[in-house]
Amino acid sequence: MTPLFKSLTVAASLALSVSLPAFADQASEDYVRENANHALSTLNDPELNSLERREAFQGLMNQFTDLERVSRFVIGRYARVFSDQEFDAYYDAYARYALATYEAELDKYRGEEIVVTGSTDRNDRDSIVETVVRRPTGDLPVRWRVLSTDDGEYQVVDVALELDGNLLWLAIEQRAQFMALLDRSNGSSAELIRTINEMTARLEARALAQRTDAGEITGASSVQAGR
Amino acid sequence: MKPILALAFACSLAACATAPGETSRSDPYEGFNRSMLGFNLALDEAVLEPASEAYTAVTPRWGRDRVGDFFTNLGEPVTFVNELLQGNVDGATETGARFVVNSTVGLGGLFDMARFRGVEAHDEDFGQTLAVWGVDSGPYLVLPLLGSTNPRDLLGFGVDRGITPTNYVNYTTNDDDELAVRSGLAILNGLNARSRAQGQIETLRDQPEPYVALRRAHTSQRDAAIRNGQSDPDAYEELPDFDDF
Repeated sequence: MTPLFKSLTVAASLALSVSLPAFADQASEDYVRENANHALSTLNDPELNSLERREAFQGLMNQFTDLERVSRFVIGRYARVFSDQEFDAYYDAYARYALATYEAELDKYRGEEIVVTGSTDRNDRDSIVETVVRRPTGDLPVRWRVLSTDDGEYQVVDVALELDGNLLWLAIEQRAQFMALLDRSNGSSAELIRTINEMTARLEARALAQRTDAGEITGASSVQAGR
Repeated sequence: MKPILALAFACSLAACATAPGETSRSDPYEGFNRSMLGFNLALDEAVLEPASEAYTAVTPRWGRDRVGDFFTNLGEPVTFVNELLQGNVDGATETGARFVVNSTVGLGGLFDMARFRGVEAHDEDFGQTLAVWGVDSGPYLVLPLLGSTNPRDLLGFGVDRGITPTNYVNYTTNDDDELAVRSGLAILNGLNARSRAQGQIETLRDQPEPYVALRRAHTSQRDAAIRNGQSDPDAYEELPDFDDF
C-alpha cells in the first residue's frame, strides 16, 4: 500500500479507544506486546541465518495466530461445503500463504518496537489491541484482534493497518476476495488453492530476492530457500 | 476525484481499508465494471507502466517531488472552494494559506513550504461536497481511463473541472502552442502520478480478486475522505464474528 502510510493518527486511535467500552483486557495487551515484539526481533536476530530466522518466525506466528480459525473465516460458508480432504488441502495452502504474508508485512518493520496504546473489549473473549510501530518516519498504527479460549489462552485472528481513517483488516479483505473467487468458480477448492499457491509463490520469490539483495543469502543457501 | 490520474487512482490500493462488516456495496454493473477494469489494467501494462518507468528513469526522486508539489498546488483553489461549500472554514483558511505561501515562497508551488511548517495538504472535491450535502453515491462504476467512480463522484469530477482556474488561463497567445503546453502539462502530471502509484498497482495485481479488492478499497477510501480522515466510530462494532464457521 502506498507509500503511503501517512502518519498515523495516534490521537485518533486513542480517542476511539476512549469512546468505546473501557474493559480493556490487560492480559491481551500483554500478549500482543510480548509476541509482536518477539516476532519483529526474530526477523532481525543476527544470531540466526536467513533460513533459521524464517523458521523461527513462522513457528512463532503459528503460535501467535489461530490459523485454523482464520482459515475457516476467510472462506465463510465454504468451510462447511468443502469435504475434509478439500479443506485439508486448502488449509495447507492457506497456512503457507498466511505465514508468507505475515513475514512480508512484518519484515518491513523488523528491529522496530511495537508499543501498545490501548485496547477495547468487544466482549469478554474478543478484544482489539491498539498499537503503534515506532518508526523514524512516524508511528504506524496497527491493531490486533485477539480472541481468548475457555482455558484462558489468547490468539490473534486478524491484524489491521490504518491509513487516513481507514482500517484494513487483513483477514476480512482476504475473506471478501476468497469468497468472490469461490462464488465465481462454483465453489471450486482447486481453483482457490491454485490461486493461493500462486500468491504464495510470488511472496516467497519476492522475499528471497530481497534477502539476496540484502546479502543475506548467497550460493547454495539461496537454492535451498527457493525449494 | 483528482483529475489527472484517472487510472492510477482507480488502481490505487493506497489503503485497502474497508468497512469491516461489508463484503459488497451496490454493484449492479459488475460485469461491465470488470470488463473496464480489465481494459484499464491492460492499457496500464501496455502503455502507462512503460511510460512511467521511462519517466522515473530520467527523473530523480527530487524532481518528481517538485512536479507533484506543483500540481498539488494548482489543485488548491478547487479544494478551497469545496471546503467553503462544505462549511469547513478552518480547512479553507488553511488551504488558502497554503496556496499563497507555496505559490510565492514555494516558487510557484514547486516546493510545499507549508508542509514543512506542519500544514498538510487537504484533499477535497465536489464529490465529497455532494456527500456532505447528503447526496448518495449511487452504484459503483469503473470507466475507461477514468477508473473507479460512481454517479455522484462523476458529477463532482465535472464540476471540479469547471471551477479549475487554470482552465481559464491562457499560457500562450498561439492556439497550437497553447494545446502543446496544456497537453504537456497533462502528460507530465499523469506520468508523475502514475510513477507514485507503482507499488499500489503492483499490490492490486497481486490480489486474488483484483476487482473486489479495488472496489472495496475505492469505496472505503472515499468514505474515509468524506469523514476527512476521522476514524469510523462504528468500526469495531461492525466487525464480523470468527466463530460462525
